[in-house]
Amino acid sequence: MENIIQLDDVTYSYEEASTPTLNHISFAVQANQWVAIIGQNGSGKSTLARVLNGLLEPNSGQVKIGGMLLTEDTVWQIRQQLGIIFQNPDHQFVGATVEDDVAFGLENQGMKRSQMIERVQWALELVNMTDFAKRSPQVLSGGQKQRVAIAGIIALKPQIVIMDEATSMLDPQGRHDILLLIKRLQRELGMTVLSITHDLNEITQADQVIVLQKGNVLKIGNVEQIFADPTKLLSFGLQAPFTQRLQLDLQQHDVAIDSNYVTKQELVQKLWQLHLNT
Amino acid sequence: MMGKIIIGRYLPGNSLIHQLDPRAKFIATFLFVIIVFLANNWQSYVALLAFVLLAVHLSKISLRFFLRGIRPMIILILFTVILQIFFTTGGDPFWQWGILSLSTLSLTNGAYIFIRFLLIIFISTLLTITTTPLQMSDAIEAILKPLRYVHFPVDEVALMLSIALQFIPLLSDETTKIMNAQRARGVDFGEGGLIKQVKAIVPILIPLFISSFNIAYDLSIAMESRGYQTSEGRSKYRQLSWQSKDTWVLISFGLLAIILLVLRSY
Repeated sequence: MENIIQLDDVTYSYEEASTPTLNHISFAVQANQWVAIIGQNGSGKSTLARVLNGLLEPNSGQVKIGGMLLTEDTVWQIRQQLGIIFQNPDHQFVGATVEDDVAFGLENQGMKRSQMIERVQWALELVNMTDFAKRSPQVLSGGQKQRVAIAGIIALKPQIVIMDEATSMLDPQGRHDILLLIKRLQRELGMTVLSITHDLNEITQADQVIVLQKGNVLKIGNVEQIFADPTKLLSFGLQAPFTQRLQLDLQQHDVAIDSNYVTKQELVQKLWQLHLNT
Repeated sequence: MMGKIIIGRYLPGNSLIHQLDPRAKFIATFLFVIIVFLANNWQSYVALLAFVLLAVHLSKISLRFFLRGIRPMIILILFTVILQIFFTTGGDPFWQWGILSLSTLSLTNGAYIFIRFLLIIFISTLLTITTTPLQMSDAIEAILKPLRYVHFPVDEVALMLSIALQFIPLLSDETTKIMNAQRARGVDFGEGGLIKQVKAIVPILIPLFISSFNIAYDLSIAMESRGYQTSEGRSKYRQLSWQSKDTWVLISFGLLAIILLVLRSY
């Protein structure tokens, strides 16, 4: 498998900061994977997203996207392959109507109008917002707004989508819908997803989890490995998943159950087994 | 107060006037303001009034709505008219007191000015009420296009206008939120003397500015990450389409001007 994203020894510091926000970071992401980037506030997650699409230029180190080295000459080309969905949908709308906003990125590419109309239609259908095409984005609900913002990115057909806490302002239902949608798009379009998040559901979707702490990569692993030690999770900016908390509570009541991360179904299986054995 | 003013508001509809190209409406309104000043006798004012009433009728919006829209401005209009009536000299005054005088000429002059105001307000209300802010900014962009040749940044100005229009509701929500938050902390709005009231505005203004800066920062980053560099080399999704009825509207305004010119010589 080729590495679609590769960071080699990347360092970035803001001018006013005394310590680097990203400190010699290296990792690679394979194509069509779902990668969650987690860490406490101020661990450098959002800075990382901005370095990846060239909004911020690293002080040292290299960023390679799709085999292309990120430089001033390639930055616009790379941005066409990499879309970011930001946290607050209200602050990302440029267009005055939904379809207009979805078309904004395409306009920037200078795409022909006939082709644009098709592409906008396609993107709105994917996020199920076709009926709202002529509305102003400002009158939509939070979840709908975020869907429009996603359509605006999807319309560009990027190979990589970065979600920069894209679901953090939504209610549980809206969050669930958006996750299902992104998962579907990842599967159908073969996208690579980088999700920067504190949301447990979002993390459990991931093939790979990268933990950042104070600008360093603390740990890289799959979901089971990350959740293996529940006592450490708080320092990752996370709370232990419900299944794990339940297992810990059961342990305290001397139920013979381990505290490894399991899905809900697996936990139900375990408890059922225990029940049958007693 | 703001709720009563209807200029600048948009009423959705599907009338002939609604369907016109916003550029045609914009140019026509502009022409009308000039045309109004061609009128100088009662016949020409009757022609103008008939023309405007026809336009209002075609928009399928009730005349009462327009009249209600005039109400908040009526004092201003009457004030101007009364000044005009009393300070017009010439003609045969039938009443005089110092520099103030009344004559048939000054009365008719006052009436004409009143009608002029009315007509201009009617027609500009007709423009804004049948045109969405978005169409309006598209029309302004299209009309300003020739200025590109003198290196005026038409596309940038149009983008700014469109973003500004679009963020009005968001910022007004933000203002309400800040006001309520400050009220909860004990700030009184709209009470006390002038100085106290002005001071009470500060705790709204500063957070509002800061939040505008934040929005601008977020928006600019979102725009850049979606590939916006400059207006050059961009294509356009929204397109205005000029139809024959738009040409006819402009022709009818031309005809109106000719009629008024003919009536002038009476």
